[in-house]
Amino acid sequence: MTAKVLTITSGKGGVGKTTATANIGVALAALGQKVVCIDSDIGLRNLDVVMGLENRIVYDLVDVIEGRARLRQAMIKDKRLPELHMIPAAQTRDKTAIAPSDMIRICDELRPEMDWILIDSPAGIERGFRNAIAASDTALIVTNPEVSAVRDADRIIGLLEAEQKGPGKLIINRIRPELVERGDMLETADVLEILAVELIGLIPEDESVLIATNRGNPAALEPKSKAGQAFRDIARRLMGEEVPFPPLDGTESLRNRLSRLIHPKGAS
Amino acid sequence: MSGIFDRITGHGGRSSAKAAKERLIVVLSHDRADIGPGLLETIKQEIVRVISEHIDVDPATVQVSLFSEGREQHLQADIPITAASSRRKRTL
Repeated sequence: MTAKVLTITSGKGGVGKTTATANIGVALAALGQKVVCIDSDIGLRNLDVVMGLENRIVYDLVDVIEGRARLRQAMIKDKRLPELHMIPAAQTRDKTAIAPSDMIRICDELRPEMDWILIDSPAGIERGFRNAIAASDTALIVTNPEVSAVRDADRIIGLLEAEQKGPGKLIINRIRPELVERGDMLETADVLEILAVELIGLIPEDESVLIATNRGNPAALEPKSKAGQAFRDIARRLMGEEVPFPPLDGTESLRNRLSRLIHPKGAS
Repeated sequence: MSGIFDRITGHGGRSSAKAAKERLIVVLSHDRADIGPGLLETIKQEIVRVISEHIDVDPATVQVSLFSEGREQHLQADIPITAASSRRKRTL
Protein backbone atom coordinates (compact mmCIF):
# COMPACT_ATOMS: atom_id res chain seq x y z
CA MET A 1 0.00 0.00 0.00
CA THR A 2 1.30 3.44 -0.88
CA ALA A 3 -0.93 6.26 0.16
CA LYS A 4 -1.67 9.27 -1.97
CA VAL A 5 -1.23 12.51 -0.05
CA LEU A 6 -3.94 15.10 -0.69
CA THR A 7 -3.72 18.58 0.77
CA ILE A 8 -6.99 20.43 1.15
CA THR A 9 -6.24 24.13 0.89
CA SER A 10 -7.83 27.44 -0.11
CA GLY A 11 -5.91 30.56 0.82
CA LYS A 12 -9.01 32.22 2.23
CA GLY A 13 -10.41 31.06 5.55
CA GLY A 14 -13.96 29.90 6.09
CA VAL A 15 -14.58 28.43 2.63
CA GLY A 16 -14.95 24.85 3.89
CA LYS A 17 -11.49 23.23 3.98
CA THR A 18 -12.07 21.35 7.22
CA THR A 19 -15.58 20.31 6.21
CA ALA A 20 -14.21 19.06 2.89
CA THR A 21 -11.37 17.16 4.58
CA ALA A 22 -13.72 15.44 7.04
CA ASN A 23 -16.30 14.55 4.41
CA ILE A 24 -13.91 13.33 1.74
CA GLY A 25 -12.14 11.27 4.42
CA VAL A 26 -15.43 9.76 5.53
CA ALA A 27 -16.52 9.10 1.94
CA LEU A 28 -13.23 7.40 1.00
CA ALA A 29 -13.33 5.25 4.16
CA ALA A 30 -16.93 4.30 3.37
CA LEU A 31 -15.60 2.94 0.06
CA GLY A 32 -13.30 0.67 2.08
CA GLN A 33 -10.18 2.81 1.70
CA LYS A 34 -7.71 3.20 4.56
CA VAL A 35 -7.70 6.92 5.31
CA VAL A 36 -5.96 9.22 7.76
CA CYS A 37 -6.99 12.88 8.04
CA ILE A 38 -4.31 15.16 9.51
CA ASP A 39 -5.19 18.55 10.98
CA SER A 40 -2.20 20.77 10.18
CA ASP A 41 -3.82 23.95 11.47
CA ILE A 42 -1.64 24.18 14.58
CA GLY A 43 -3.21 26.39 17.25
CA LEU A 44 -6.63 26.42 15.56
CA ARG A 45 -7.59 22.76 15.82
CA ASN A 46 -11.00 22.04 14.30
CA LEU A 47 -10.97 18.84 12.30
CA ASP A 48 -11.56 16.93 15.56
CA VAL A 49 -14.91 18.63 16.27
CA VAL A 50 -16.08 18.48 12.66
CA MET A 51 -15.39 14.73 12.65
CA GLY A 52 -16.86 14.29 16.13
CA LEU A 53 -13.63 12.88 17.59
CA GLU A 54 -12.76 15.69 20.03
CA ASN A 55 -13.32 13.55 23.13
CA ARG A 56 -10.78 10.96 22.13
CA ILE A 57 -7.65 13.08 21.80
CA VAL A 58 -4.68 12.09 23.92
CA TYR A 59 -1.72 13.10 21.79
CA ASP A 60 -1.44 15.47 18.84
CA LEU A 61 0.71 16.12 15.77
CA VAL A 62 3.23 18.26 17.67
CA ASP A 63 3.60 15.55 20.37
CA VAL A 64 4.61 13.16 17.58
CA ILE A 65 7.01 15.63 15.97
CA GLU A 66 8.66 16.45 19.28
CA GLY A 67 8.94 12.80 20.25
CA ARG A 68 6.48 12.67 23.17
CA ALA A 69 4.26 10.17 21.37
CA ARG A 70 4.51 7.65 18.58
CA LEU A 71 2.46 8.23 15.44
CA ARG A 72 0.24 5.28 16.27
CA GLN A 73 -0.59 6.75 19.69
CA ALA A 74 -1.72 10.07 18.23
CA MET A 75 -3.80 8.46 15.49
CA ILE A 76 -7.47 8.22 16.53
CA LYS A 77 -9.48 5.39 15.00
CA ASP A 78 -13.01 6.38 14.02
CA LYS A 79 -15.54 3.96 15.52
CA ARG A 80 -18.10 4.55 12.74
CA LEU A 81 -15.75 3.55 9.94
CA PRO A 82 -12.95 1.12 10.82
CA GLU A 83 -10.70 2.38 8.01
CA LEU A 84 -10.89 6.05 9.07
CA HIS A 85 -8.25 7.74 11.25
CA MET A 86 -7.50 11.26 12.39
CA ILE A 87 -4.41 12.98 13.76
CA PRO A 88 -5.32 16.19 15.61
CA ALA A 89 -3.41 19.46 15.54
CA ALA A 90 -1.93 20.88 18.74
CA GLN A 91 -4.19 23.53 20.17
CA THR A 92 -1.77 25.44 22.40
CA ARG A 93 1.11 25.87 19.94
CA ASP A 94 1.56 27.73 16.66
CA LYS A 95 2.64 27.06 13.07
CA THR A 96 6.31 27.34 13.93
CA ALA A 97 6.06 24.17 16.03
CA ILE A 98 6.33 22.16 12.82
CA ALA A 99 8.45 22.39 9.69
CA PRO A 100 7.85 21.11 6.15
CA SER A 101 10.42 18.36 6.76
CA ASP A 102 8.35 17.10 9.73
CA MET A 103 5.29 16.71 7.53
CA ILE A 104 7.32 14.85 4.91
CA ARG A 105 8.69 12.49 7.59
CA ILE A 106 5.24 11.81 9.06
CA CYS A 107 3.65 11.19 5.68
CA ASP A 108 6.53 8.87 4.70
CA GLU A 109 5.87 6.87 7.84
CA LEU A 110 2.12 6.69 7.12
CA ARG A 111 2.31 6.00 3.39
CA PRO A 112 2.90 2.22 3.57
CA GLU A 113 -0.09 1.72 5.89
CA MET A 114 -2.69 3.91 4.20
CA ASP A 115 -4.47 4.42 0.89
CA TRP A 116 -5.06 8.13 1.45
CA ILE A 117 -3.50 10.81 3.65
CA LEU A 118 -5.66 13.94 3.75
CA ILE A 119 -4.02 17.07 5.12
CA ASP A 120 -6.29 19.88 6.25
CA SER A 121 -4.33 23.06 5.57
CA PRO A 122 -4.64 26.26 7.58
CA ALA A 123 -5.80 29.42 5.81
CA GLY A 124 -3.15 31.76 4.47
CA ILE A 125 -0.01 31.34 2.39
CA GLU A 126 2.60 31.40 5.16
CA ARG A 127 4.39 28.72 7.16
CA GLY A 128 1.25 26.68 7.85
CA PHE A 129 0.48 26.41 4.14
CA ARG A 130 4.09 25.44 3.36
CA ASN A 131 3.88 22.70 6.00
CA ALA A 132 0.59 21.44 4.61
CA ILE A 133 1.81 21.12 1.01
CA ALA A 134 5.33 19.84 1.77
CA ALA A 135 4.39 16.16 1.48
CA SER A 136 1.46 16.66 -0.90
CA ASP A 137 1.02 14.67 -4.11
CA THR A 138 -2.10 16.58 -5.15
CA ALA A 139 -3.80 19.64 -3.76
CA LEU A 140 -7.56 20.01 -3.60
CA ILE A 141 -8.33 23.72 -3.69
CA VAL A 142 -11.58 24.70 -2.00
CA THR A 143 -13.26 27.91 -3.08
CA ASN A 144 -16.68 29.56 -2.96
CA PRO A 145 -18.33 31.23 -5.97
CA GLU A 146 -17.43 34.65 -4.63
CA VAL A 147 -14.74 37.18 -5.66
CA SER A 148 -12.41 37.08 -2.65
CA ALA A 149 -12.44 33.27 -2.39
CA VAL A 150 -11.76 32.89 -6.13
CA ARG A 151 -8.97 35.45 -6.01
CA ASP A 152 -7.31 33.63 -3.10
CA ALA A 153 -7.76 30.27 -4.84
CA ASP A 154 -5.93 31.73 -7.84
CA ARG A 155 -3.05 32.81 -5.64
CA ILE A 156 -2.85 29.31 -4.12
CA ILE A 157 -2.87 27.72 -7.59
CA GLY A 158 0.02 30.01 -8.55
CA LEU A 159 1.97 29.09 -5.40
CA LEU A 160 1.36 25.37 -5.97
CA GLU A 161 2.71 25.71 -9.50
CA ALA A 162 5.75 27.60 -8.22
CA GLU A 163 6.38 24.79 -5.70
CA GLN A 164 5.98 22.23 -8.53
CA LYS A 165 3.02 20.69 -6.74
CA GLY A 166 0.95 20.67 -9.90
CA PRO A 167 -2.08 22.80 -10.56
CA GLY A 168 -4.34 20.92 -8.13
CA LYS A 169 -8.02 20.20 -8.47
CA LEU A 170 -10.87 22.52 -7.63
CA ILE A 171 -13.81 22.08 -5.27
CA ILE A 172 -16.45 24.80 -5.52
CA ASN A 173 -18.28 24.81 -2.20
CA ARG A 174 -21.44 26.54 -0.98
CA ILE A 175 -23.06 27.00 -4.37
CA ARG A 176 -26.53 28.53 -4.19
CA PRO A 177 -28.33 27.52 -7.39
CA GLU A 178 -31.09 30.10 -6.94
CA LEU A 179 -28.53 32.93 -6.83
CA VAL A 180 -26.68 31.52 -9.85
CA GLU A 181 -29.98 31.32 -11.70
CA ARG A 182 -30.85 34.97 -11.14
CA GLY A 183 -27.33 36.11 -12.05
CA ASP A 184 -26.12 36.99 -8.58
CA MET A 185 -23.60 34.20 -8.09
CA LEU A 186 -20.67 33.22 -10.31
CA GLU A 187 -21.47 30.19 -12.45
CA THR A 188 -19.29 27.10 -12.29
CA ALA A 189 -18.25 27.66 -15.91
CA ASP A 190 -17.08 31.19 -15.08
CA VAL A 191 -15.04 30.08 -12.07
CA LEU A 192 -13.40 27.34 -14.16
CA GLU A 193 -12.70 29.73 -17.01
CA ILE A 194 -11.10 32.24 -14.64
CA LEU A 195 -9.01 29.74 -12.64
CA ALA A 196 -8.24 27.39 -15.57
CA VAL A 197 -7.95 24.36 -13.32
CA GLU A 198 -9.52 20.91 -13.26
CA LEU A 199 -12.80 20.52 -11.37
CA ILE A 200 -13.30 17.66 -8.90
CA GLY A 201 -16.32 18.71 -6.88
CA LEU A 202 -19.41 20.94 -6.82
CA ILE A 203 -20.97 21.23 -3.39
CA PRO A 204 -24.31 22.97 -2.95
CA GLU A 205 -24.95 25.18 0.07
CA ASP A 206 -26.78 22.78 2.34
CA GLU A 207 -28.00 23.21 5.89
CA SER A 208 -27.37 19.52 6.48
CA VAL A 209 -23.64 20.40 6.65
CA LEU A 210 -24.23 22.75 9.59
CA ILE A 211 -26.45 20.21 11.32
CA ALA A 212 -23.89 17.48 10.71
CA THR A 213 -21.13 19.67 12.16
CA ASN A 214 -23.29 20.48 15.20
CA ARG A 215 -23.53 16.76 15.85
CA GLY A 216 -19.98 15.83 14.84
CA ASN A 217 -21.38 13.48 12.27
CA PRO A 218 -20.05 14.47 8.80
CA ALA A 219 -22.72 14.98 6.12
CA ALA A 220 -21.11 12.33 3.90
CA LEU A 221 -22.48 9.77 6.41
CA GLU A 222 -26.03 11.02 5.75
CA PRO A 223 -27.49 9.23 2.72
CA LYS A 224 -30.03 12.01 2.09
CA SER A 225 -27.68 15.00 2.40
CA LYS A 226 -27.13 16.74 -0.95
CA ALA A 227 -23.75 18.07 0.11
CA GLY A 228 -22.94 14.64 1.51
CA GLN A 229 -23.70 13.11 -1.90
CA ALA A 230 -21.47 15.71 -3.57
CA PHE A 231 -18.61 14.72 -1.23
CA ARG A 232 -19.22 11.03 -1.93
CA ASP A 233 -18.97 11.88 -5.65
CA ILE A 234 -15.57 13.50 -5.03
CA ALA A 235 -14.37 10.32 -3.30
CA ARG A 236 -15.40 8.22 -6.30
CA ARG A 237 -13.66 10.63 -8.68
CA LEU A 238 -10.50 10.35 -6.57
CA MET A 239 -10.80 6.57 -6.98
CA GLY A 240 -10.68 7.10 -10.74
CA GLU A 241 -14.36 6.66 -11.44
CA GLU A 242 -16.04 8.90 -14.02
CA VAL A 243 -18.81 10.51 -12.03
CA PRO A 244 -20.83 13.12 -13.94
CA PHE A 245 -21.37 16.47 -12.25
CA PRO A 246 -25.06 16.77 -11.45
CA PRO A 247 -26.45 20.06 -12.76
CA LEU A 248 -26.58 22.32 -9.72
CA ASP A 249 -26.65 25.66 -11.44
CA GLY A 250 -30.25 26.59 -11.87
CA THR A 251 -31.95 23.24 -12.24
CA GLU A 252 -34.88 22.85 -9.93
CA SER A 253 -34.40 26.39 -8.75
CA LEU A 254 -37.24 28.42 -7.34
CA ARG A 255 -37.45 30.28 -10.62
CA ASN A 256 -37.91 27.11 -12.65
CA ARG A 257 -40.39 25.67 -10.22
CA LEU A 258 -42.42 28.87 -10.33
CA SER A 259 -42.14 28.98 -14.10
CA ARG A 260 -43.59 25.52 -14.29
CA LEU A 261 -46.39 26.49 -11.92
CA ILE A 262 -47.30 29.51 -14.00
CA HIS A 263 -46.79 27.80 -17.37
CA PRO A 264 -47.40 24.11 -16.66
CA LYS A 265 -47.04 23.21 -20.34
CA GLY A 266 -44.23 25.64 -21.06
CA ALA A 267 -40.87 24.13 -21.95
CA SER A 268 -38.89 26.47 -19.74
CA MET B 1 -41.19 35.50 -18.23
CA SER B 2 -37.73 36.51 -17.15
CA GLY B 3 -38.69 40.17 -17.43
CA ILE B 4 -41.35 39.78 -14.74
CA PHE B 5 -38.91 38.00 -12.44
CA ASP B 6 -36.22 40.55 -13.01
CA ARG B 7 -38.61 43.32 -12.08
CA ILE B 8 -39.82 41.51 -8.97
CA THR B 9 -36.34 40.62 -7.77
CA GLY B 10 -34.86 43.97 -8.78
CA HIS B 11 -32.24 42.46 -11.06
CA GLY B 12 -33.26 44.01 -14.32
CA GLY B 13 -29.85 45.64 -14.79
CA ARG B 14 -26.46 44.09 -15.35
CA SER B 15 -26.16 40.94 -13.26
CA SER B 16 -23.83 41.12 -10.27
CA ALA B 17 -22.27 37.77 -11.22
CA LYS B 18 -21.18 39.30 -14.55
CA ALA B 19 -19.64 42.22 -12.70
CA ALA B 20 -17.86 39.77 -10.37
CA LYS B 21 -16.44 37.85 -13.32
CA GLU B 22 -15.23 40.93 -15.16
CA ARG B 23 -13.61 42.38 -12.04
CA LEU B 24 -11.95 39.07 -11.22
CA ILE B 25 -10.50 38.72 -14.71
CA VAL B 26 -8.85 42.14 -14.42
CA VAL B 27 -7.59 41.78 -10.85
CA LEU B 28 -6.24 38.26 -11.44
CA SER B 29 -4.33 39.26 -14.55
CA HIS B 30 -2.60 41.94 -12.44
CA ASP B 31 -2.08 39.52 -9.50
CA ARG B 32 -0.62 36.76 -11.65
CA ALA B 33 1.78 38.96 -13.58
CA ASP B 34 2.56 41.03 -10.49
CA ILE B 35 2.06 44.13 -12.64
CA GLY B 36 -0.09 46.82 -11.04
CA PRO B 37 -2.05 49.47 -12.93
CA GLY B 38 0.73 52.00 -12.17
CA LEU B 39 3.47 49.88 -13.74
CA LEU B 40 1.24 49.23 -16.75
CA GLU B 41 0.89 53.00 -17.27
CA THR B 42 4.67 53.43 -17.02
CA ILE B 43 5.20 50.67 -19.60
CA LYS B 44 2.67 52.37 -21.88
CA GLN B 45 4.46 55.73 -21.66
CA GLU B 46 7.81 54.08 -22.41
CA ILE B 47 6.38 52.27 -25.43
CA VAL B 48 4.89 55.51 -26.75
CA ARG B 49 8.23 57.28 -26.27
CA VAL B 50 10.21 54.59 -28.16
CA ILE B 51 7.71 54.24 -31.02
CA SER B 52 7.40 58.02 -31.36
CA GLU B 53 11.09 58.25 -32.25
CA HIS B 54 10.24 56.49 -35.52
CA ILE B 55 6.59 57.11 -36.32
CA ASP B 56 3.79 59.37 -35.11
CA VAL B 57 1.46 57.85 -32.56
CA ASP B 58 -1.28 59.49 -30.57
CA PRO B 59 -0.67 58.54 -26.88
CA ALA B 60 -4.40 58.81 -26.18
CA THR B 61 -5.17 55.92 -28.57
CA VAL B 62 -2.46 53.55 -27.28
CA GLN B 63 -3.71 50.70 -25.09
CA VAL B 64 -1.46 48.49 -23.00
CA SER B 65 -3.23 45.72 -21.14
CA LEU B 66 -2.88 42.27 -19.63
CA PHE B 67 -4.86 39.23 -20.62
CA SER B 68 -4.86 35.54 -19.72
CA GLU B 69 -4.83 32.46 -21.91
CA GLY B 70 -5.54 29.66 -19.49
CA ARG B 71 -3.07 30.40 -16.71
CA GLU B 72 -0.57 32.09 -19.05
CA GLN B 73 -0.32 35.86 -18.87
CA HIS B 74 0.17 38.11 -21.88
CA LEU B 75 1.09 41.76 -22.12
CA GLN B 76 -0.76 43.28 -25.04
CA ALA B 77 -0.09 46.62 -26.68
CA ASP B 78 -2.41 48.12 -29.26
CA ILE B 79 -0.75 51.08 -31.00
CA PRO B 80 -2.84 52.68 -33.73
CA ILE B 81 -0.55 54.31 -36.29
CA THR B 82 -1.38 57.80 -37.48
CA ALA B 83 -2.32 57.62 -41.20
CA ALA B 84 0.70 57.62 -43.53
CA SER B 85 -0.78 60.45 -45.63
CA SER B 86 -0.91 62.81 -42.66
CA ARG B 87 2.59 61.74 -41.62
CA ARG B 88 3.95 62.63 -45.08
CA LYS B 89 2.33 66.07 -44.99
CA ARG B 90 4.06 66.79 -41.74
CA THR B 91 7.50 65.77 -42.98
CA LEU B 92 7.19 67.94 -46.07
